[in-house]
Amino acid sequence: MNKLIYFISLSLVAQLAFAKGMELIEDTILWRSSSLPGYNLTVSNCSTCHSAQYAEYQPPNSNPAFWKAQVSRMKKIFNAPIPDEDVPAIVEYLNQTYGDNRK
Amino acid sequence: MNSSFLKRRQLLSAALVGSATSLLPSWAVGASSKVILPFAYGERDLLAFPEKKPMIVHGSRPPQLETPFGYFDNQIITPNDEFFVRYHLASIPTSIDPKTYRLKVGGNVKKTLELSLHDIKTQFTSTSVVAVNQCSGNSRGLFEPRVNGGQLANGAMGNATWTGVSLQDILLASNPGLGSKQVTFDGLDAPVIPSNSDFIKALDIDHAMHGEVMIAYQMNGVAIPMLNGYPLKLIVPGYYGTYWVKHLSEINVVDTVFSGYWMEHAYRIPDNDCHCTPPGEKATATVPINKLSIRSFITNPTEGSAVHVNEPTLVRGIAFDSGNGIAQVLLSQDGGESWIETRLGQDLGRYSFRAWQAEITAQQAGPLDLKVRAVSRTGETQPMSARWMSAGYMRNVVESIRLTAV
Repeated sequence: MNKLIYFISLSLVAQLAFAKGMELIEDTILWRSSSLPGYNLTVSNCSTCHSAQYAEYQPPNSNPAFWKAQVSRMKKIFNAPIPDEDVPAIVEYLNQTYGDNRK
Repeated sequence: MNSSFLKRRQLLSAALVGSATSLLPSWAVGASSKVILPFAYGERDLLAFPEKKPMIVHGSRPPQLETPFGYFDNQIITPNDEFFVRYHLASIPTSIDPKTYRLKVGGNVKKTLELSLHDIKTQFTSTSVVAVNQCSGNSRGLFEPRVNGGQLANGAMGNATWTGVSLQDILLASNPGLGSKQVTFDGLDAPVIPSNSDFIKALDIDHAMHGEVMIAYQMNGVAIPMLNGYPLKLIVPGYYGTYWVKHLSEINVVDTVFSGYWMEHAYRIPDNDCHCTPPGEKATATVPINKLSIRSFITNPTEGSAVHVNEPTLVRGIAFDSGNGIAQVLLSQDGGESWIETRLGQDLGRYSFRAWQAEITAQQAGPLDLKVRAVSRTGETQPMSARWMSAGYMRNVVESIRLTAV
């Protein structure tokens, strides 16, 4: 009898234990559009791994050295496939669009 | 399940944004679905992610959600749907089957383990602790001069009852070998592009074995929300949230000091007594961030509120430290010249938020500068002026709010 109850409760538990899932929401902030050549490079490279808030919310005192360090960190640590020759344009776009230059 | 989450989220956004903003102080309310945090570039969306009320969105991919500060008033336990979320890497699990989920334990051990959730719940003794989880960078947006990183206000913290098993019991079952130095913890979240940047954290073997570090399968009595680390989360009472690995899937005992990016390069603090540097300077030597610094907050009234002259006003809030326990919370209404001792609320354990309250009475019309300062049982207290470090961690200055007596 005890075994039967154990078996029934086990199968109840098994039925209740369904997979847990969720649907994530789409990016709510997009990269600020710009005529600078780094804009398209930023959208195509940076968006692979993260949304634009990472740049959007940085404080006004963010300087070119900060943006440059971030782009090289993404390349070095996170394997972002950004060609070295594209880095200056991306840094220029980030610096002209965010930080102290944010409109 | 997936589509019902989405519908629920849309309903929640529609139904709750109004009431959520009304919980915020007046300076924080912008448009109906925005908040303005009290620093430059402080505008943020308020959105309900899966299993969450509307939260302050610092990042949508990966999700980084801060608890609106009004949610902390008059409750010591932070509900699961109000608890902050912080991921580092955007490949995060969106579906987990509890029947097939496994926790692997290996490395420098005599016996490798592969435990199902059922094994963990039935083969080990369950235990509970009430403990604060606070993001290392909580309040970073308030640093002056400003520092780069996630620009959080004060809401990247929460206090929950965590139920699970002792990490010590799991490690004893696998029997770490001689010479073990650290234990590493990895979860299902992963870098989008394969690299050596997977989010793996490490604790010293003695810390991992001292019995208080836990593997939780419940948060406030129910399964952990997906965004907080379902189905298993590492609980490190008294330590910053960076160690509280979500979707815990792999534990390895190692005989070296682990050199992964998130230990050796990120989450480092100045290696000195104040964990600080002169503003603008980089630390010469650093160590991994570790124990929480002591903090206290006023949750009611809120910044800019009016009080009546000669009428007592209830002031209340919360305090916490790294586990020595809160001995006293002091309140000043004159900018720190004189202090009164507040009454402490129920003690839910030394790692928990501790409620406090007191009455103040304004003697004359004009501005009041309220300050709150906690003291731990070992005498640790909060600095009157903010300490600084370039990483923007560990802010714990005495908090102030201004009221007007009328």
